[in-house]
Amino acid sequence: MNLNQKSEAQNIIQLQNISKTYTLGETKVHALKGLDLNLKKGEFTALIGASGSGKSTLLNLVGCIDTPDTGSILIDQVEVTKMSENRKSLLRNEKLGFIFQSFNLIPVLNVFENIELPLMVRNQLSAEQRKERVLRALKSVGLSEFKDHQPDKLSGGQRQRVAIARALVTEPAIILADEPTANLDSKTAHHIIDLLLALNSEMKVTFLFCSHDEKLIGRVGRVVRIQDGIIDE
Amino acid sequence: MILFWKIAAKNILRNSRRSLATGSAITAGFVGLTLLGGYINSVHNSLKANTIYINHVGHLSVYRRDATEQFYIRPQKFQLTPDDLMKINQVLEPYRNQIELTSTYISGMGLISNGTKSIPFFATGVDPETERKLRSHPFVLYWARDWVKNEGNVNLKSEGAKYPDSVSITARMGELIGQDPPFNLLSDEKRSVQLAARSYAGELNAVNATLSVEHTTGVDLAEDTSLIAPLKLLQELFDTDGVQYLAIYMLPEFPVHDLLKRIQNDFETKKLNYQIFSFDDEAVSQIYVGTMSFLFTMAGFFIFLICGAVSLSIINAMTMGILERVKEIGTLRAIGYESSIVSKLFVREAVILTGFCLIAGVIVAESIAFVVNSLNIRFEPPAMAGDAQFSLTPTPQIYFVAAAAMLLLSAVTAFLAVRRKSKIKVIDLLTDTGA
Repeated sequence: MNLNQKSEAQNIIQLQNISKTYTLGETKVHALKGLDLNLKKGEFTALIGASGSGKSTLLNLVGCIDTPDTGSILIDQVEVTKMSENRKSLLRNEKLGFIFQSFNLIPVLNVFENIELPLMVRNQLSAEQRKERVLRALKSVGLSEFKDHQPDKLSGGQRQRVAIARALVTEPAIILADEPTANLDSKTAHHIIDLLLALNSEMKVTFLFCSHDEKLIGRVGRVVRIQDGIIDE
Repeated sequence: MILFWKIAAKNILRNSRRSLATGSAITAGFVGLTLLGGYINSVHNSLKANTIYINHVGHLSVYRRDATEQFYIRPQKFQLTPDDLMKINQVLEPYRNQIELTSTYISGMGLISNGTKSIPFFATGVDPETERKLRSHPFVLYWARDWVKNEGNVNLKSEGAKYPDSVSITARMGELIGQDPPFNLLSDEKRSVQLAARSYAGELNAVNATLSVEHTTGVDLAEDTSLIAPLKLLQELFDTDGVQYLAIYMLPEFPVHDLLKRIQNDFETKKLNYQIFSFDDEAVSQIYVGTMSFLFTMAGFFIFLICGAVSLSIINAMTMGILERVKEIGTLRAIGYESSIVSKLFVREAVILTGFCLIAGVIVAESIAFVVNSLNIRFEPPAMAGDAQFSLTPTPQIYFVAAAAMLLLSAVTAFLAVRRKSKIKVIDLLTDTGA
């Protein structure tokens, strides 16, 4: 293995020449314009940019919930742009964890069941193993005593921690967070970032999150700035 | 998997008012289907009892080949002779364990006269003892009690000891010849009648008879002419020792068509020139077949309407539910659920809701049937003589079929409603632009 190959192997996310255009009415919006980006395993990266800069689009492409017009995306050395929807679903479940801006918890399920949900997809674990994983994830976000609560009985910060536990529970290689602190007050936002940093440090999970909060820049390992669909690192 | 059922069950409670509205539509549809089935079941069994026992068609009936079309034109040629009956009974011998009883019949037209009035009759010659058994058969008393108002009311046998030439006519025929029932209370002179007809050889023949009892055929068209007489009396009238056909009354636990095929096969194997018909064959039961065809056509139309209304309700509820939960569907897809699993989640909701509705539906349907049957609502069915009770008798089989149909309908409808939505791109679901 030469140096170049070794470096590529260390990249868990590789984006090459990614373009994405949206059509809004009769107007074409070039969200991403031939973008290249590599992220190493265990890296904690913030995508920073103004609204409409293309950071959420980039995150959605990495998360395989959207497809680029051109270019290739490799997740853990696997090309994903040509994958079928079902294979992408499996990949998302195996390799990726999602933290959404508005938490996206299932309101009819309690905290424990919400976190258990991703483990039910492949049905590979016994009920006992699932329980162990969920309790571990709950402990890591400090919500063990809230496992039987319904989401609507929790504060915004607690809900986001439940969402983080749900993203962690499958032990993914990458966690993607779209504006995870946008709906939280600044104190809670800092606590959430602290939690994400601690989890990154403990579990060596690759974190990629987007934010327009400039105050967070100094706290993360790597900042990728996007402006008008291109990277300005 | 339990978690998915739990999600589905909780989602039903999420919008309880909508679930109640959809559930009401499903329950109403299920009750409609079961009561429609219950009504058809009542009519079917009444008709069956009337056809098989009261009108002597039997579960199976054996004729000389082509006799169903040719007998009244050339009775001599198409009757069954004693020799024929012996051969037929030999064929039936191995199947006696399936047969309750057999009886031979003869029928023909003529004139009945009491000296002052003469009216045409259509007579059926019966064995009085068999006739008594048939008219007091449990199936007849349960399903066709409206047509045998007094148990075994054509009791020619009881009169037979005193009057071997006892005949039974309908009340309407009595009216036509100027005698009102009960005939056994009339003087011997008033009861005395003559039956005249052409014999099988084509000669004019007449016999004396005594009006003894009255009966009803249950069929409006037959009420003006129906006469029941002992077989021997009619054989004397038609100057024959033969019969028109042999009816086979089966035990209820054996399948009619199965025995029909076996006997048919035996006739063919032994090269016997006889035909066997089941009671639901148009050749021997035009009224039964015609009425059931009409009922099934009508039922098909109502089933279509009921299922259509239920489907639209489910589609409406599911579509509303999906629109409210687009982001939830997107989240499930984002964390790795395939679109088919998401569709199944909605299908589960429909199935659970339908399941509860079916339980409620059984209670409602049973209650309605109980009330309707207790009220003893009378009506005059078309082409039938006299009135009959409007009864609803849904059976466990009807409940089962209707429940299976409703479950299938709700599952398929829910699947169709959600399928398109669950295939929308995940990003559109999460940003709620594709919904």
